[in-house]
Amino acid sequence: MIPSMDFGLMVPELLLIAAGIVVLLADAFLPREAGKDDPRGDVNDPRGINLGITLVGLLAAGAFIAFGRGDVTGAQETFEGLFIVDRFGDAFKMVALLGTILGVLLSDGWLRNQRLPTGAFYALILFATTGMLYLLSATDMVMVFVGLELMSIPLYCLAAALRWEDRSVEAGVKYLVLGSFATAVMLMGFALLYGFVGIYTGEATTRLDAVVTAVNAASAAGELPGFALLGGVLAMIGLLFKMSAVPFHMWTPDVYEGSPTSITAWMSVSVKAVTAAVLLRIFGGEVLDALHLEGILWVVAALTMFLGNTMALTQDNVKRMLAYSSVAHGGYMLVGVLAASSAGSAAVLFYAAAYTFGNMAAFAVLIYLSRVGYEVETFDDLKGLGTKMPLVGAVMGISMLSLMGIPPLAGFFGKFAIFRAAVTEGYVWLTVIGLLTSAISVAYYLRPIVVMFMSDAPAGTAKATGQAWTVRVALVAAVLVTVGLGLMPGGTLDWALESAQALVAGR
Amino acid sequence: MTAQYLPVLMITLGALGFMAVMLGINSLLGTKRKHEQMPKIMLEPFECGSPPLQTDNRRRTAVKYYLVAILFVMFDLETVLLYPWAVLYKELGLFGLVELLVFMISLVVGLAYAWRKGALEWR
Amino acid sequence: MPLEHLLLFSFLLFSMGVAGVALRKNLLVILMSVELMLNAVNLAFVGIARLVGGHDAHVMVMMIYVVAAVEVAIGMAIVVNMYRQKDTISVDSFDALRG
Repeated sequence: MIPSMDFGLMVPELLLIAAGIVVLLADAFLPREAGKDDPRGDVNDPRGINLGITLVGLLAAGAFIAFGRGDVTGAQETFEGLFIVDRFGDAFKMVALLGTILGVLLSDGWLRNQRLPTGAFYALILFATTGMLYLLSATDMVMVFVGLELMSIPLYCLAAALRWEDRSVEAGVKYLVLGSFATAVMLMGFALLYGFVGIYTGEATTRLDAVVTAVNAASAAGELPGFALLGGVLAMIGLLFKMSAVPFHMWTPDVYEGSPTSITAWMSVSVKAVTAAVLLRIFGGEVLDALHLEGILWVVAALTMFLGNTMALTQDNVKRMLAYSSVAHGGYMLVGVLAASSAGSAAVLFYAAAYTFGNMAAFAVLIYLSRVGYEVETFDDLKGLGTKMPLVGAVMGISMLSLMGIPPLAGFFGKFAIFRAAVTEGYVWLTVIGLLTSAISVAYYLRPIVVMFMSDAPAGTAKATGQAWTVRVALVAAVLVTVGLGLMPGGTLDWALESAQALVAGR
Repeated sequence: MTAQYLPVLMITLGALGFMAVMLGINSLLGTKRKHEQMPKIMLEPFECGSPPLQTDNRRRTAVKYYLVAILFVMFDLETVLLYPWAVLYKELGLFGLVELLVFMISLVVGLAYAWRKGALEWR
Repeated sequence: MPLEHLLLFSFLLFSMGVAGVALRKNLLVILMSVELMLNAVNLAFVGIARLVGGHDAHVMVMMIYVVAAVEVAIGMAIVVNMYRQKDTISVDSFDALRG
């Protein structure tokens, strides 16, 4: 019997895989310079072929999701229920793809400066993005696992991309060890849940919606065995690791500091958004309560917001500060995951979008200011640059204010939506903690602005010049969307709510 | 349930007891001498065998073996995924064959990339 | 064989893996410990599938095998690079990043 397969639903993923393979082949087989046919001789891709293929692939995938789905409103399943396409997954796919496009644009100039092989780099980015998309369509343990690994394994390589630099090597090793550890923990949880479903319903399946139904039924009847609870906890711990929620955040600052800046920027936004979506899809709703995970997630969210924001206060390295800030933002998203109503899910989606563009703008400024052999990383490096380059300083300012949650920028509406959903669902104290920690965050988000505008540049500081057009485009796009989402949040909020209703209706 | 494991327990106890007896008799009956006071014959391998020719056995293995090993793993694992297809070969028919070819071609793409980047050259 | 014994054995293996990741200093041993954890998961899946039937777990186990090997291949590449860079594969040598 041939299983039911509809490749039409999988077109974006297939496009990305095809783009990745084409990049690899073009990198290996196309002659790079006239009369010079040594694939190892030139790594800089002078004609931008690799960049072009990558961007075309990403844009095509995004265009298909935006325009090619037809007018089907409900969820569509294929591959015997392994792969699901719905509005919720599609919305997060758009956010992840936009983050990836910005990440690729930020990488290009830097790759040329470092003389790193662009072909392999872009292929890894494309494959990791494919993993993200699969993860967003996953309703089965097998797909969650494969998607998660397809996302993570290229990221380990990308974190260690600067292979002659101690910091990057250490970042890669730490990410690898803790990432694979987290995956193994999650799998153990899945194994226990699989056993529970098999014993309770008599029909063993790795489908997560069947697991959720069985857990809810068993919990209502008071027959939920201890090992199923343990399975739920372990599965969630694995995902929280990937999201760098607080007891499992130790690796985050180190990996984010050591990785190439563009990869840090991309990881901090896209991986986080995708993991939040998976948490919502698997654990959103009453199953969270049935598995007794609600209290755990409450504590984790509170700790994540608190520790992320307080640890960010004492950092001297901007990348490290943004790493802790990303931990904190993960905490806000977890509040939305707790309030898993359609309003809560929509809030997580809007928050992820706002955070993607706000954070990307901050990293884009760092990359814009860096030159060959000189990476802008510490606050001292930023001294006085705002007065020298007011526009770049303004971008940094807007990005910081958006991350802080100051109206009328995108970050404000994200936080507002999350906290409103949380209060509606009765998480008042968590909202109070969230608001207080947001107040703490003002202190460290103001610091780059103060350093850039209020202190004098050291003698000999020059304006950054000669940046690649890709970095300029990414910088401008990120900041424009941050402002635009803030000035006109209505349409995007409606879109998010519609997408989230698709998820909640399917529960 | 427990009765069927009884032989295992007995063998384990027997092995441990035998070991304890042998070591105990040795330490009871054997002469005790410091290492440097031993005659030369006592320092040589016991009763049979020859002294090892190469004392330092830690030779470095060239990293190029590792590269080949990784390429080997790629095709080694392909076989794992061939098993389900082999089991359902008749039922899947042409469709299964085409699916499998797509899978194999994508692996060959990886090999082609490795070859062009010089991973197969034995330097 | 009762499910409890099977899960206990699998958990024992899993805990050994966790302890290895937490306590050992040699990166190769740490990677092997992660493999041990994954094999414990495989054992749990196969054992449960034998008790309750169904083929899903077999698919899962095969996927875990393949992906685990890929992970190790990548991990080895990163560790070999670290050895070239720092002349050691001990986690004690991490000093470039404040952990």
